Amino acid sequence: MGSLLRVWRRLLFLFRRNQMDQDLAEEMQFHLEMKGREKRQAGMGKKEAQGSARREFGNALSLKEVSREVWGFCSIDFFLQDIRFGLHMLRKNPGFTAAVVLSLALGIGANTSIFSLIDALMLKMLPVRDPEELRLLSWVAQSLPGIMPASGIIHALSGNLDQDRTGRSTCTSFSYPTFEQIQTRNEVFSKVFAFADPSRVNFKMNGQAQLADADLVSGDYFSGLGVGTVAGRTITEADDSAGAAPVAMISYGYWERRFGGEPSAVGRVVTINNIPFTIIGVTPPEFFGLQAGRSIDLWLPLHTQPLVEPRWTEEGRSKFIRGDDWWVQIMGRLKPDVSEQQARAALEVAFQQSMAAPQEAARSAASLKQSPEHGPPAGSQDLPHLELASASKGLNDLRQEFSKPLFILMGVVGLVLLIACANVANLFLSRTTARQREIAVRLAIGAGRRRIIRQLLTESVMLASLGGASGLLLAYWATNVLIAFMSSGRNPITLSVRPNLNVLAFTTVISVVTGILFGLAPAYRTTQVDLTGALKEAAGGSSSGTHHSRRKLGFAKALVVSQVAMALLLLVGAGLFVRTLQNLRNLNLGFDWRNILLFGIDPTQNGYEGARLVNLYQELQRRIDALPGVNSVSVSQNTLIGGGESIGDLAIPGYTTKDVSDGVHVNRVGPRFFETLGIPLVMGRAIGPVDTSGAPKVAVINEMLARQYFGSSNPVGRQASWSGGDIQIVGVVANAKYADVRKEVPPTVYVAYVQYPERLREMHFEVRTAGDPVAIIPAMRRAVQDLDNNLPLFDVNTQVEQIDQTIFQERLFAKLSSFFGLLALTLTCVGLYGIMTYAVTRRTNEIGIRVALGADRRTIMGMVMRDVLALVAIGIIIGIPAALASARLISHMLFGLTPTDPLTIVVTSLVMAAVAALAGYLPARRASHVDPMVALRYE
Amino acid sequence: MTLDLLPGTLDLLILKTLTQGPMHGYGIAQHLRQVSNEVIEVGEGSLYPALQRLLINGWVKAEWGQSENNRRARYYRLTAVGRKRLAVQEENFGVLLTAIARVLQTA
Repeated sequence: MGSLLRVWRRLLFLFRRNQMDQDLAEEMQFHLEMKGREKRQAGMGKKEAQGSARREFGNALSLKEVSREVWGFCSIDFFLQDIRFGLHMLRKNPGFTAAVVLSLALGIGANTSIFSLIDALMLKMLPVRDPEELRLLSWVAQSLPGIMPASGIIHALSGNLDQDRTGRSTCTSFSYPTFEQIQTRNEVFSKVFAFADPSRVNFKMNGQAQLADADLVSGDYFSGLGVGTVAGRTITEADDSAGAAPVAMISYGYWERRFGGEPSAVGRVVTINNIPFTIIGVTPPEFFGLQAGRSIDLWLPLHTQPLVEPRWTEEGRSKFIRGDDWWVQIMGRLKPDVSEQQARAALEVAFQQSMAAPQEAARSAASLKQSPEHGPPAGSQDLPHLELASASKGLNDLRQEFSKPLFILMGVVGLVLLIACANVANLFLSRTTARQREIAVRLAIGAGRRRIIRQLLTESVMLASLGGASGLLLAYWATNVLIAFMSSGRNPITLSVRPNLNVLAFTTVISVVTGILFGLAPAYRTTQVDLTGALKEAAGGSSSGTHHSRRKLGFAKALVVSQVAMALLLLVGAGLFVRTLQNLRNLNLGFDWRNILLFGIDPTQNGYEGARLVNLYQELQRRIDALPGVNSVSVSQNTLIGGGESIGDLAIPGYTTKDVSDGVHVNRVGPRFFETLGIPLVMGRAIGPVDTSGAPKVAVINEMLARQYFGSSNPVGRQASWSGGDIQIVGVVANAKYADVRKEVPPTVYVAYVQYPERLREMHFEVRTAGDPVAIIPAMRRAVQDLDNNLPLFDVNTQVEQIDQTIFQERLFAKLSSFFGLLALTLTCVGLYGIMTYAVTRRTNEIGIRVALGADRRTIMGMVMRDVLALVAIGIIIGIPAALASARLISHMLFGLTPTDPLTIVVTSLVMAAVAALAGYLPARRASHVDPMVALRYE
Repeated sequence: MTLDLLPGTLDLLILKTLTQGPMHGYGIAQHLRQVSNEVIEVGEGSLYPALQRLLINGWVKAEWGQSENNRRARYYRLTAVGRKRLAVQEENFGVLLTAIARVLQTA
């Protein structure tokens, strides 16, 4: 109770602080006067009495402070005082303040920017109800050939299949019957739902056809996730059944873009892939689907799949019945009282049960006929087993792709921040040297050492906060630039990075930590001052120099050396990335990639098929060829360096390939393909207009395949067969890269697409132009529209852009690492310059003596330069092994060179030394111009 | 002679002094000096912090009044809680003194 009253009284007096001060002052004045009177009464003179009284009274100021200390307000008082003083000092030295704030802003801004990306991509939970309860199902198989296609368990797979080096495969795709079995296990999941990989659909509304990204979802998707709508209703079980009226939900973003945010959107009938759908609802703005970084425009019920993708329904058997077509992903909401093991065990049983049927079917098929697709049935150890993974952050695909690069970037910007902090620490060190006298005086009149350190620390934290605030602004801008760049990749990344608490906390922590980091050391050292020495010393330092200031210089030198080492590390990294990019750009791709425009269309979405589809493609090719500025046009299933590839089996009677690789690459092309792309013909002829659908089926192979299968003998005229039937080889073309510039040229067979009208689907066009390909885009679009104005184009790019998209990570890293490397180099040089200036100033006296004794300019310069180069050399010696060690981290991102590439290391070391020498040149020159008369007087 | 041998002693002395009646700071110091025959000289550096301490704990109350020579001075007065505290401290101090004396005798 007493302590409570005490606190209360304290608080009361807190508000009457000023009054209290006055009271105390008046009280002491009274005491002083009484003392003076007493002395006068004892016989002293008036003045003498007052003086004696005052002396006895002691230090009034310290008394006041001690009294106040009793009340315990000092901390707040001192803090406010510190802040006011700090602000004053910052304003007095605008240059210093600017330098510090800028360095910190760059360092902290870069860190915050990368961290925001990491947060948005990796750390953010899905914007759904209780995301921690969500589980994603996946399966693991020890060896893939054991189950597919041999045993017939998996006949078709769509989704992401990951294989590690031992052949162990993981996948998240399941068959629909498996999903139904899982659904029966309602003791594990309170809700379970399925969805299929997003595909592009032709979305037509008001006569305008555009492509949109759509997700197929089961009835319980939205209720399972706990996501509602801002307008209309969600898809339910009733909508997801065969024969139900087709409905669709749209995303908030799509609602705004395509429908102008009008409430009339709900209930409107649109056409998706030629099928009428009714829009029933709009998702909330923060819901983007299950994959951070991708945005879905539409959600359609799973059972509309046969309507929307009729071509994918093979042989009349529905994907919903077949147990060997694995195409849906399954997610569930775990019941609270079920453990992970229980769940996995129960679901494993259901999974194995669901595979029993296709296994049986395959076994009977295998015993009936030896079809080339079915081999011996799978043993039980080959069967895949189930895994459960937390899905609180959604699907993993993008995360896996980007996690390592983002963390490497985090390391890079971390180093940059360290270098910036070292600079700032040195700046602080040199400035506190200037303030030596002020601090000495303050110590002399009785300020506690801790008090002064606290004040200096407050200053540095204030600077750090300013730096952090500017850094935050910088980061916001930089993050948007980064994301814009990242959306120019193969698959655009759409992330909405809004300022959030995580990032704010991160920036605050970093700011405060850097404030303390670079404020503490100088503050500590500065207050270890020999008072008399400091008070005598002017801002130059005597020739002997105090032991203390020499120690300070040593510390500063150590900082600079570490800066050099870190900058070298970053420069080596930058060099490796830049050379990787160069290597990739200088690759011989095997075809002429200049002045080619690419685009794709999918008329099957509008119901074209078979011969009608072939005619469409041929007519379009004719029309585009007729456009002015077009040299030639061709059609192909896959464009080159587009990331898409088709692989098939080739069998050549009488010949076996020595190399059992994973099949050959196939590309269905049309006439003039090789001419348009500039792939030279080596033997025989290319695919031409004579190869119609009635004519004998032909193929052209590339040199790689020719060498593999035929060695040195002539392949022209020989027969072969592939999954499309028998073919005759009519020509050989030069090697050209297929899907990826990094991979070797694969053995490739080119067939004529017109000869397989039943298998025809979307195709791509290559247009070789006389001038800039971009110029003919409008004319080309008009040509397509004239033919059929419901044909939206996709992947409209120049060949150069498309290639660039596949190497965008290398481009990104080359750009970023160069930027940060140069930044680090600049910061280090500023640091070097600063410390050499300081060192020279300290030795002014000594230099003056030397000059007076006859040393010439060059000797003095050499003296200083030797110092500089010594520092840089030590830094480089430390930096090189560090660079070699850390370069191993990025070895998987390099192309055409090893992480210990000696050329890069030597060149960057030389660059570092040269630039550093330049930084030291100015102070050296200044030293050499020291006038001995001035120097010797300079005490 | 300094009083930092036994902490809290100064507080005790001030409280006891104030039983004489309300006094200002100078008066308390003077009183202590006189009664102790010039042995106990309380410096202002110790006196005023001690007074603040007593104020915080609520053992004394302060109010402004007129001094003997018509000057404004701050007078301190004992509170009821302060009186109780004084009694307790006096007893404790007595016990301590006896204990010290006994130790000194046996040595």
